[in-house]
Amino acid sequence: MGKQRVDRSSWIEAASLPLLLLVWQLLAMLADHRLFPTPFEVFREIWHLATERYLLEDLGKTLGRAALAFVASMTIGIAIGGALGRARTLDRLFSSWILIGLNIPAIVVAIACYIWLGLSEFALILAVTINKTPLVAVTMREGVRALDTGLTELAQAYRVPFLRRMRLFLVPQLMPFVLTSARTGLSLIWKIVLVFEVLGSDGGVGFRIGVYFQNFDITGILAYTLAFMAVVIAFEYFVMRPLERRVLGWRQA
Amino acid sequence: MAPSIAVSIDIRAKRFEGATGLLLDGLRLDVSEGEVLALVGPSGVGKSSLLRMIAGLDADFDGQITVFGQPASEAGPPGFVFQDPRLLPWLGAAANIRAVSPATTMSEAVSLLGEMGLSGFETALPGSLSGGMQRRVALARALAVQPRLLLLDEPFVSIDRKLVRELHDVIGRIAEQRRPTMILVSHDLEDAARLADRVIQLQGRPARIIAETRVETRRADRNPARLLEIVAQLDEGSGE
Repeated sequence: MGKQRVDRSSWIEAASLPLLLLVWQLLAMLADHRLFPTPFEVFREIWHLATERYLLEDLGKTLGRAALAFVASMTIGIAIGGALGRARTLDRLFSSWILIGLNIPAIVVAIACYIWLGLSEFALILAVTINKTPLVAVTMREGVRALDTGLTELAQAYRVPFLRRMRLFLVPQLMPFVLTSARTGLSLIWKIVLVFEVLGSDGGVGFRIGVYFQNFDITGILAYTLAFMAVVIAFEYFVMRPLERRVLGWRQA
Repeated sequence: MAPSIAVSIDIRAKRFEGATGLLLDGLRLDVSEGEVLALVGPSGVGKSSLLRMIAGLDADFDGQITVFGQPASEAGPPGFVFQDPRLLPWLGAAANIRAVSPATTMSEAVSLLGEMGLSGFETALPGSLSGGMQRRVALARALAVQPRLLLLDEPFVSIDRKLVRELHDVIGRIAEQRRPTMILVSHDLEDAARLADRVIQLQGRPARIIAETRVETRRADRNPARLLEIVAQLDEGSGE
């Protein structure tokens, strides 16, 4: 009975994407306009761009930028969030900084970075990092605040050495918060990297979409978007979900 | 030869955390090596606070506690069973034992779990164990550090009588076979009557010792009828 239900739900999940493509195909056929290409035309364009143009190179550039910004914002955000969660005084002192960081429009940060640092790779990655870090810091601050004081006391009572305490007691408690930050962070970074590339860069998915936009080439825009989405979805299924199962599997017990 | 002193307590003053007034004031107490001492009293009297001080978890008091001749915070780790099992939910039962006691091998952890009647549950996550099983894992964990001092903070609270009797048997067996010095905190005279060599009853604020009773009957001979007599004797001692 239970197995049947699982089988059915996985079939439904598997049917989700084909259904989307089918709806798209039908709408494109109904519209019958050059600005609304069918999925088939878009896939053909992806193949063309990947084999004869710059799609793979652009994807590599964008993913590299996203990865660097992700690592930087996670590292800095975890450190800041940890400090804010531990020290009330620091939290009070910097709470309005965090609030500003969370609410400042991403585009303002990007423009400011480009004006101050020029249209450089560093400026782009810094702008993305500045946008993302407050979100990580806030999540990690909550994680540190939620640490189980009973387990801390247990480790103290048994004189568990510092490194062992970190590895077995602290890190596993923080992992759900790290993964939440990583997931929300990635979804944010994917989006803002593209916007910042449109604003100013020498290549990448966003840059290319900006060029296609100027030419009103919707097939090219969708081809790049779809290729990028494929990478994001693959990352979700082949990296994030297995990692989550591995790290948080105990929660199902 | 008189048994040597395992724990020596001399507290001149212990204040409430975040409140005015004294929790403990002029409490002096020695616990002999191998003795099972029960500290009994109503909730909030300071029994658990005293246990935390003995474990070296709270040094914010005026006075001195030594454990086997060393200041409590510098003494080796006691075995500590908290009110709640405090198991790491992401580790299996045996791994929970080894988390606090890296020197314990996997086979020793498995053997300790077997002693607690938990054979076959070595890799079971705490979330899949019943409350009673979790408490037995916590006991096995406390024994893994081969403690000379075992501290039990209300280990029978919020569990059914059948399980309480099972845990009484397990702890009684530990007292007889391993003979650590044990300090048991409870609000229930029956727990004390069942397990302790000596019962100290605390009451008031600041807490003071209102009765000290030595239980002469061997643990093995404390049948239900005898237990009732001991409880009555403890009741009488406390003037209740």
